[in-house]
Amino acid sequence: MGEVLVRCFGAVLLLAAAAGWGFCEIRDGRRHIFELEAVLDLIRAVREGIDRLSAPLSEIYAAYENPVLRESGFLTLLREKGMAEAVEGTEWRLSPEELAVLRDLASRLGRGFREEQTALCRYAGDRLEDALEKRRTDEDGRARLWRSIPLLAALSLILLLL
Amino acid sequence: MAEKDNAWERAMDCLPERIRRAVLQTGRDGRGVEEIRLRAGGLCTLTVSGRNISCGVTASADEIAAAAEKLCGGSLYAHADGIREGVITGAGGIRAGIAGTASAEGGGVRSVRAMTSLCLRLPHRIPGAADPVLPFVMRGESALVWSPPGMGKTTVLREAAAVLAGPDEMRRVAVVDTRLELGAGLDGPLTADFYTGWPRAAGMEAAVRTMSPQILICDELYGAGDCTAMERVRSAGVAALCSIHAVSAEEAVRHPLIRAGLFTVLCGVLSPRHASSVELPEWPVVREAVCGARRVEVRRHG
Repeated sequence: MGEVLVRCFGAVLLLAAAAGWGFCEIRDGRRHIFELEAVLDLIRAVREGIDRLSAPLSEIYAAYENPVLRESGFLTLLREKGMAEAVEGTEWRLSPEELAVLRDLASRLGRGFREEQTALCRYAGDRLEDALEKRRTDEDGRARLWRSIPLLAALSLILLLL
Repeated sequence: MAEKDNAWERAMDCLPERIRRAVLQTGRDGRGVEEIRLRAGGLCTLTVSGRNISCGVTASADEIAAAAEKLCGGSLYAHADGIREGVITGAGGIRAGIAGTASAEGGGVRSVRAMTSLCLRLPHRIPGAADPVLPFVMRGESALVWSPPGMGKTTVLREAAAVLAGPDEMRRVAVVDTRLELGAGLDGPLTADFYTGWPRAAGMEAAVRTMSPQILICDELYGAGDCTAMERVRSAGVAALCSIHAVSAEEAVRHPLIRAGLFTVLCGVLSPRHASSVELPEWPVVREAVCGARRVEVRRHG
C-alpha cells in the first residue's frame, strides 16, 4: 500500500512538472507575441503622430503608453534617450530578424521628412505584422503540443503503474 | 545676459564635439557672439559685432547634418515647413539659416536633400530696445520696424511685447510667432497670446477674429497675403507693430504696407556706421536713440 502511494505521489510530481514546463513554454511564446504587438502599436502611434500632427518624436513618446513596453523598461529609456538607445538597452524576446527591423527603424526615425518617415514606419510595421502572423500560427501549434505533453506523460505513467 | 548664456549653451549642445571645441578655443563664452556658422568643406566662423572670426576648422556634411538634427530635436519632419524656407528654429529661439541642395517642385522647394551650411543665430534681449517706438504704439498708432537682416528687428519686437504685455502696461497683445523667435526668453505673467508656428496671415486673422487684441505684433511681413491680412487687422482698429526687411528709409517708405497707409510710424534699426538720416519730407525723423550697438531712428508720417 505504501509503495503504491509513493508511486502515485511520484507520478503526480512528474505530471505537475510536465504541466508546469508546458505552461512556461506557452507563456513565453505568448509574451513574445505580446511584445511584438506592443512594438507594432508603438510604430502605429509614431506613424500617426508624424502623419497627422508632424509632432516631434519627444512629444509622441511622452504621450504614448503601453504596459508591456513599460514593464520591460523600454518606455522609460525611449523617453529619456530616444528609440535607438532604448532598443539597445532593453532585453527583448523578439527574434534577431524582428530586432533588426526595429533597429533599422530606430536608426532612421526623425532624420527625414513626413512622407519618408511615414513610409519608413509603414514598411517596418508591415514586416513585423508578417512576423507576428507567422508567430501566431506557429504558437497555436506549439501551444497544442505543450498541452498534449502532460496528457501523454500521464498516459505513460498510468501504463507504467499498471 | 542669462538669456544669452542659455542660448549659447543650447547652441554648444547642438554642435558636434570637434566643432564645439574649436569654437570654445576662440576664447568666446557667448558674449557678443551673434552667429555661429558651419560650412561643409568651408571655414567655420563666429560673427561678433558684425565681424567674422575664424574658428580654425572646417565642418563635414555629416557634422552639419548631425547639428541640424539636434537643432530639430531629432525630428526633422517637424520642421519641414521652415526648412523649405531655409530656416530651422530650435528650442530657445535659436534660429538657424540653412543652405544646401534642394529638391525643387513646381517652382518651390519640396525639401532640402543635403545641408551644406548652417548659420545659428543666437537670440538676445536688449532691455530698452523698443523704447523709442513704444509711445506711438501705446497711443494706438501702427509702427513698422525696418532694417537690413541681422540688425535686431526681432529683438525690438520682443522687447516691445515684454513691455506692452508686462505688469505695468497690461495691454492685450497678440504675438504671431511664425518662426518661434518672438517668444524666446519671454517669461513671467504677460498679457500676451502667442500664435506659435502659425503662418503670419492665418495667425493675424485668427487673433483679430477671436482674441480682440489691442496690439498685434508680427515679424517679417512680406507678400500680398500678409498685406491683405494686415488690412483686416487695421480695419478692426487693432494697432500693429511689425517688421520688414529694408536697407534704407527710402526703400522702407516704398513698401506696399506703407503705400497702403497701414502704418504711420517707421522705426529703423541701424548700425552706427549707417549713413546719417536722409531727409524724407513726408516722413520726418521725430526720435533718435542709441540702444546698445544700434541706432534707432523713428519717423512719423505727417
